[in-house]
Order: sequence, then C-alpha cells, then structure tokens
Amino acid sequence: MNSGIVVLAEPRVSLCGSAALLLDAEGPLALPTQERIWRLSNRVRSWDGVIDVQPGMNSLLVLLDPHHADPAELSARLLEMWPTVEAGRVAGRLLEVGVVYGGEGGQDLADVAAHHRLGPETVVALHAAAEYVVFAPGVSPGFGYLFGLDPRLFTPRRKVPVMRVVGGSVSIGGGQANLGKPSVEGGPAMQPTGWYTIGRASDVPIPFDLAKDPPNLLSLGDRIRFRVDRIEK
Amino acid sequence: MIEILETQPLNSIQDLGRLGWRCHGIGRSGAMDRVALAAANALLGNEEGAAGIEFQLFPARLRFRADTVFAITGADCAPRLDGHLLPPWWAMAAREGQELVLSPPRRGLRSYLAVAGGIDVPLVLGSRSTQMRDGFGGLGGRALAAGDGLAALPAAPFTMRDRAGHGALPASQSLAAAAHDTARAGEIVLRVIGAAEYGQFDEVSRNTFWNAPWKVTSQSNRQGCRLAGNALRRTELVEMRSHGIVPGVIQVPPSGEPIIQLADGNSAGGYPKIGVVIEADLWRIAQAAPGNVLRFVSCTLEEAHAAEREIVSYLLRLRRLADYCRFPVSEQAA
Amino acid sequence: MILATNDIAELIEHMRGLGVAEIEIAGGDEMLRVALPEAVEQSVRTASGPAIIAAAACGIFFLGHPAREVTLSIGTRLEAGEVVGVIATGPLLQPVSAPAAGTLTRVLCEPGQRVDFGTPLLAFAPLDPPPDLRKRKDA
Repeated sequence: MNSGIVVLAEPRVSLCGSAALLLDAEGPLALPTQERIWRLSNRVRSWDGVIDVQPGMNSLLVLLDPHHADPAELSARLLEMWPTVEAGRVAGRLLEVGVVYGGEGGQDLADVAAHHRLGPETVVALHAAAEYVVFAPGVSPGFGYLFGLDPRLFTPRRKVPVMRVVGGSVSIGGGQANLGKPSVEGGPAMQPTGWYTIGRASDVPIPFDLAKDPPNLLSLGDRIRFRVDRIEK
Repeated sequence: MIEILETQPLNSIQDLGRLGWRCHGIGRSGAMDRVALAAANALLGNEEGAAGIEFQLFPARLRFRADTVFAITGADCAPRLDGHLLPPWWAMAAREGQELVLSPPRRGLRSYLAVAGGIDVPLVLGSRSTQMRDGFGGLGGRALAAGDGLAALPAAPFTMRDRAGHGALPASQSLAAAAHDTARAGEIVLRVIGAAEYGQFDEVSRNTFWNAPWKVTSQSNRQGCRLAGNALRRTELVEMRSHGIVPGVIQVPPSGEPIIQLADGNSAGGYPKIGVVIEADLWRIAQAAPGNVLRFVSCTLEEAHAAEREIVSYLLRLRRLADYCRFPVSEQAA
Repeated sequence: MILATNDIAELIEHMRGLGVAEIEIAGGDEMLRVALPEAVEQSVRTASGPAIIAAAACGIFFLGHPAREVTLSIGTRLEAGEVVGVIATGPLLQPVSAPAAGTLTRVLCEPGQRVDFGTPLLAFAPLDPPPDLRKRKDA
C-alpha cells in the first residue's frame, strides 16, 4: 500500500545517530522552502559544534562534532530558527547546455513519450522549457538534484536498473531531472541507472574540478537550462 | 620510505577523512576503523589523523627503504619483520632493507600501518584519504599496487626506549562492548539510536531488528555492510525524498534487508532509516567479516557520548604513556 | 583510597617518563607516597644456573600477548630479544624480552597478576650462559 510521498504538517528535527541532526521541513517540495533551507544551512554552518551541513530535498542534515556539541540544544535552536528564515531568490549562476534528444544518447525518449501518451517532440519541449534549480547535492560530485521538471513528465523510477551510456546524460526519474557529468578517460562507458535517459549533452562542462579553486562549477540555488540542439529518432 | 612488494586489491591510504564538502556530494571516507588508526598514530607520537595504510585484503609485503619506526594495529595480521613475528598493536623500529609481511587475520578484517610522521601524499580537499569511487585523494585516487613507493612526512627523530618496541592493549580489550540479551559469544553488538522512520516499521519488524542475529554478507565493503536476516516491513509505504545520511545509518531498502552505510557510503539516500549505529561503534563494523553476526542494541544519546569519551580517554592515555617510550634525538650541530 | 591500584601503576609510568623519583599525594586523612627504585634490573642470574627475567615496569603481566593464544610453554626455545610477554600499564604494553637465547624453564608469575619493578616473571636456561647476565655500566 503506497501512500505516496511523505509530507509533514510540521517541521521535525530528529537525531541521525549520535553526531548528526536531520531537519525535515513541513509542506511539499517547493522552491521557497528550499531557498529557506539554503539560507538556514549557511547560518548553521558557523555554529559552534557544527562540522558540516548538507541540504537534502526538503531537508537539512547538520553534522556535529561528537565531542563538543549538544545535540539536544542544537536541535532546539534549529527548530527555533527555522520559522524565521526567509524565502527569496538566491543570487546564482545560469548554466545552459545543448542537448541532442533521443537517438543513441537518449534511448528512453520513446518509452517516456509512450508512457505519458505524448509525442517525443512534446516531451522534449516540456523538458527544455523548464529552468532547473540545483536543489541539493547528489551522491557524488556532480550537478546534484535538479528541481523544476514539469509534473507532466513525472515518471516512476525503474525497479530494476538498466545500463546506460555515461557522459552528459540527460535523464528523468520520479519527479526529478538529472544531468550527468562528462565521461572520464579510462572510466566506465556505461553505468546502471533507475532513471530514463532522454538525451545527451556532449559538451557538458565538468561540474567538480579539483584543479580549480573553488572546484565546484555550480552551487546550490544555481540554475540549468537545456537547449534543444536536435531531436533524433 | 616504503616499497610495496606485494599487495591485494582494495588496500589504500586513509587518514581520518575529510569534512566540510558534503554540499558537493563528498563524504568523509577515511579509515573504516578510526580507533585502530588513531591508536597506531598515538604509539608513534603522530598527529591523530596522520595518514596510514588500510589493509583489507592480505597477504601484503613491503620493504622499508629507510630506517622507519612503524606501528600496526587493527585485525591481528601476524606481522613478520624479516621473519620475526611481532605482537599485535605494536610499534617497532625497522632498519633500512627489512621486509614486513602481513598475513590474513584469523579474526577481524582490517589492519592499519602507520609510520612516524605519517604517509606523505598530497592533501586533497583537506585530507589524504583515498576516495576510490571518484578517483581522488590518497595515492592518485586509487588502491595500492606492487611497485608503489611511499614516503613519510618528516618527523622529529627519536629512538625507542626498548629495542623490542612497545604496544597498545587492543581496542577490543580496552573498550567495553554493550551487552545484548540474546547475543552469543563472538557476535558483534552495536549500539543504535533510532532514526526518523523507526516508527514506520511494524512491531514484528522492530522486535526482529533488536533481537535477531544479522549476518554480514559478502556484499560488504567500504561503502556499506549488507545484512541477511528476516525482512523488515513498514506499516505504511511512504516514499521518501533524497536526504543526507552519515556512516552508521541503517537503511532498509524494498527487499527489507538492512544496509549499514559506511565510510565510502553514499552521502544522500532515499531509503527509510530504522536506526543509526553510534559513531563510537563504527570501528566494530569495520572488523566484521562476511559471515560474522551483528546484534543491535538500543542506546541513548548520553550512552553514545559516554562511549565516545571512553575512546578519547583510551587514546589520550595511550598517547601519553607511549610518549615515554620514545627518546627524542637532538640534532648534532653541524 | 586516594588512587586505585591501576591508576598508581599509570602514575608510576608517568613518574618514570618524566624523571620524577618520588611523589606524595595527600587527600583528607590519607597519604600516598610513591618512590621509584634508582635502577631496575631486568634480568638476574641466579647462583644455581638459570636466568630470571624480572619485570621492568609496574602493571599486569601477560605471557605472550593478551590478544593471542599463548604458544609459549616450558621447553620453548627463545631467541635473544624475542618478546615473550608484556606488562600492561593502562593501555600501554611494554615488552618482556628474553635477554639471550635459551629455553623457557619456568613461569614464575601467574599471567594476569599485577607486578612491580623486579617481580620475577620467567626463568630460562640460557644456551650459552655468560658469567653474569646483569646489565652493568662499563667502568
């Protein structure tokens, strides 16, 4: 029995072990809430006893120094501060990437279109019309979790992952969009994924480059737009 | 200077990890058994977080290309220096040319080699730990290979008070494990604080979680420990959004069999969390081999902090006493 | 008691390391005085032949190592410098080594026992007994 995605009526802070706190925000996933999470995370980062912060989708993980932090006290402080943090657009960068939709680099475009009873061109138009916001970091250095996918393109993630080409992959899964980083020389050509790959951005820049300072190209709150270069069969 | 003569895959340079990069999807990494690495460094008078070598697979052979004082802790890998068996958790001076052989441990899984001064590889994002999945840190972002040469950072020279070396009482004999009602001898008891989704699990599942034995499967590594046992079920299948997770988080994927996220685990996830193993017990998981049985026991925040303090006290006392076992050598005037 | 026995052993280790010969701690109507011997002999040759390895530290004696099965027994061949046991002072383990090659003849101290400077631990028959095993400064 699937009750859908969890939505809290009230914000909640829970212990995540002995050295971390997780704030789950109230309400649905939304840009104003996430703007508040970014602002809160910037403030909390400098608190005594906090060693790192990590926004999630509608949440904030606060990592504590196990020897010098009082989780109960910090938990109360978080809940007290949270309602006072304002929403509002954060100044940020806009990255535009050209995409070849469909074809070999976007082999799931036809399936997604069929699933939604839309033509592939409509899927592409809906996907490229949106401005995607970098909401939260992913599980490795990359473009992170992107928010802004048109609800008409929400496609439940696969139960069984499939192998798809690595390098600038443009994919969707659940209610999220994803942009893959460039392929690495000597790295795997394909990787398993539960997402649907609808296109390829072959000129995608490197999102995290250790040779640069700062190494990250984008920060939370920055935006990505996809430009339709071509639609292939 | 150490030359790796022979090694198996998955042995890498680790320190106590990197902090502050979670906003970029970069987790802590670092030694899986942080207590063992810190104790090895304490024996040598190194900074607690000096980089050492984490050995997960054996045998391994290396040669000292210079006089080096080293320490080995973690699982007892029967270290032999030029054929002479050393005690476990021991610091010893090696002479240039001597060979060290590490053998598969009978108990435990991971051993740590520290050298005076710490291993010298570049700091990447503040740490010398290897992140093998993303290919950075440590020695070029990869595991060690035969032929690799490793240098040590400079350290104030010293001689050993006793030529036979000195050692530490291993963590397993110094740090009391929690009690568990149904655990048997040899089973590893881990203290757990309930996580946000704990209440979503049905009563049978919650009982199973606390009382049943959980077997470590062979699909366990630096990223996580997959457990086999009775499937855990939730009363309500609400979907979760991706959120930050830390080492120790026990996720329950759709299969119902728990996964404990570890040092190189994903920094974010969308599975429900039933509990989180306390930081002070993570080293026990690092020494759990496939086939070993884990047991979970509930723990309060106060108990978790007391366990942390116990580790700090052990390491500090060890460091202070080990300091007397080394005599600084004053540089001769030129 | 002012200090637990375990803590006194650690205190002694600190005194030795810092070069403190004597310490007095007063607490309420109790007083604890600890004085270190001037020199500690690690091994002694007895008149009847075998050599005795004595404790050079205060702590708990273990034959072999507390984390390993004991493989030493009467008759075991020992190499010069071989670590045959340890003395645990708090978390620190200090080696008990055979001063010369020989054969283990007796275990004089029950493993797990608390020992002091000079407590006889093991007796062994040196392979090639020198006239006097006592460490001594050259004149």
